[in-house]
Amino acid sequence: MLELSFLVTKEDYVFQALEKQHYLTPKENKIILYVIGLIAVGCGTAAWLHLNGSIYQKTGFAALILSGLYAVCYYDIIKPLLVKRRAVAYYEIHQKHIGSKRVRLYADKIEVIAENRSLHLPQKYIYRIVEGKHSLLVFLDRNESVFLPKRVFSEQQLTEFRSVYQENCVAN
Amino acid sequence: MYNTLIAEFDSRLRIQEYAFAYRLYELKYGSEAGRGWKAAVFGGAGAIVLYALAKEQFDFGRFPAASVIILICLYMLTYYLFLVPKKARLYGEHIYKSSRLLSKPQHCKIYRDFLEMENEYESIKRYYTEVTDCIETERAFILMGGVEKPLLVISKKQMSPQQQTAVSEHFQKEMTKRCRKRS
Repeated sequence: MLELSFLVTKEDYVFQALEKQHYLTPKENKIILYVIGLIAVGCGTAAWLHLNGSIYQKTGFAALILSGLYAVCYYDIIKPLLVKRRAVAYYEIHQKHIGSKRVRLYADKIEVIAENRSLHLPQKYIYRIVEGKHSLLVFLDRNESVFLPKRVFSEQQLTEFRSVYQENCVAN
Repeated sequence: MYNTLIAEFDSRLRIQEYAFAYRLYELKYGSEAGRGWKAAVFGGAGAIVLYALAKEQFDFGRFPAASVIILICLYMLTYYLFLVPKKARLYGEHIYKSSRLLSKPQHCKIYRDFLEMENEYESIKRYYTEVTDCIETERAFILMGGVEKPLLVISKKQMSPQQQTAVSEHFQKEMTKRCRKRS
């Protein structure tokens, strides 16, 4: 049994929000938006360079290029910024309720005790455990997760965790 | 008296109730929040380009970029107004199906200042001060807000009419401006 007790910091909260967002965004969505963006930028630039149009046309081409750039940058730059801003605002408002967590990791179950919630989850009820760079996200279903900051684990504890929950673990 | 028990009952959440609640939550607080103004931006942009094109006698051949922009705006308008709510509801159904906890029978206790929901593996205590929105529908009470598990759904199915009235009146009283009924 491994017992961890920690206070959730702003950094922990922001990192888990970013990593959760990264995991929950389907790769196909990213690829589709990226391709659409590139097509829009390409068509807009080609039209801008080769067609001598009126001011309306030029404005249209510029709008097409800008929307294309927005689409290309959306998942890599814009979305993480929005998620980060939202997480910081949320943490600052709810700081006193986020507080501390006590986690007990057994071979067959996880126990999480927070201020207003306790969870005793058998391993077979865990939907998935996602390992990110800064945190471990224990998903209870496709959307809801409990996070454990990696900083509270020693290297040995992390290895032990991975070996116990290897069938639930996926990399982010 | 301090924290009087208002009602105590068992409840079991059904997929339709959760999917509907998730749709409401997602549209208000989730990644699809603010779809109204996003739809308005695309609608407005599309209308401006359409107006500019109308001044040129709708010569689509001469203004290919404008035609593409109008199509994109039309698609985005439809997406935000019609597809997003449907998508959110479907996603709610997927979440319910993927969770082993949501379908478990719950025991609910409604106190003066907070409520408690318990099942075999999980217990949650939610103070009404944490709740930002309380929506009462024909089938359930939907409570949004709070740090841990921000969407709580209490099914009315197993509640007696007296319990439903008591809980409804209590929520209306405790969360005056945050509580509303929705048919």
